[in-house]
Amino acid sequence: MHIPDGYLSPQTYLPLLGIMLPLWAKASRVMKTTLRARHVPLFAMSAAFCFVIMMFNVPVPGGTTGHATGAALVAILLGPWAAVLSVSVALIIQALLFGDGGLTTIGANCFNTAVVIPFVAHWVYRLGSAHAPVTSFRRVVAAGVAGYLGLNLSALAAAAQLGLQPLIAQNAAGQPLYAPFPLHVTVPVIAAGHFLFFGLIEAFVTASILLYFQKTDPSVMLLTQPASTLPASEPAAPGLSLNESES
Amino acid sequence: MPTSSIRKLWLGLGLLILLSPAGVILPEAFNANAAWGEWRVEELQRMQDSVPAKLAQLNGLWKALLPDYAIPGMNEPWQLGLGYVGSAVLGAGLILVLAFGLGKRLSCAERQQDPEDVGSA
Repeated sequence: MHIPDGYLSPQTYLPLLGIMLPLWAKASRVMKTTLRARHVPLFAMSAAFCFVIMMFNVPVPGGTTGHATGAALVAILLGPWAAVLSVSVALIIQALLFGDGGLTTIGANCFNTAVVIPFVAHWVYRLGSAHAPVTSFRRVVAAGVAGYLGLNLSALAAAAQLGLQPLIAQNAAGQPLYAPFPLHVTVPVIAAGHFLFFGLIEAFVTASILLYFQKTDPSVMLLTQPASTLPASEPAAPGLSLNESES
Repeated sequence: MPTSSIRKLWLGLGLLILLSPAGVILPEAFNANAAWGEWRVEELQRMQDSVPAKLAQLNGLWKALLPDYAIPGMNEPWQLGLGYVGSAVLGAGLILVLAFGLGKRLSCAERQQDPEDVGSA
């Protein structure tokens, strides 16, 4: 979700921004030791991919729309910390240039989309694909489940943030000052849209693109694997399969 | 990964950008509004009697250059589609440049071997 300005009180958006600052710093530190120079174009492409995939608004019953994020796929392929930065870049440009998501809510939106989805997806995929060979279909299923759960938990986080507003900030007459809908409205409505539709779209995007890599170039699925865990039949380091002309 | 598969990914990204107007045409065709909970003040006003005070105040805080991925004032369906694909090109291009710069700054030097690589080499 891209929460617009005005929907969250400062009591909500400031702490969430406060959470994001150290997470961005930590992500940068992790990248400094894990992102190989030859993977930089892929990292950049992942941010642009998330931006574009989020433009595919899908209408659903009830007169609203939603979309996939691509954040689960990026986390699975490049690692969750790379996804934190990659998806954050996309979200910040969406807010600044296109007014998609607010400025005050940038911390909240980055937390929900660029942290919750990547980490949930990363762990679900790791659990679901444990000991599975690179070519195993179980990995495709795990990627789909990772996308589904990642997006849905992210939506629930946004629903909680929105639904808490009437409790947090009211005027003297007890009327809400920010997002006006209570938790018992935001959670079921947002959960329905995501559990029934958008989660499935994220699952499809994540699983189908992983399947594509599995069939065409499985080395992409091993970019974040430490070399010592690779089976003997795979290149010692995934990067070694690069064309010589590139390095 | 071989250059040929990287090239296919760039093509795939380009294809997605070209197809992006589907993201504005489909919702229009089904008369679907904004995502739930992402309404602008005007939309909220149509749904409810009153708009919360601070929400109304903060909602117009930022005037984006291309709000909703559209060129302001160009609201014909074909213009929406054109504005959308243009927004996709501009946004994706800008993000590529920014993320490439960020990645370049953060990536470890290529010659320096990863600690894990040393053992298996």
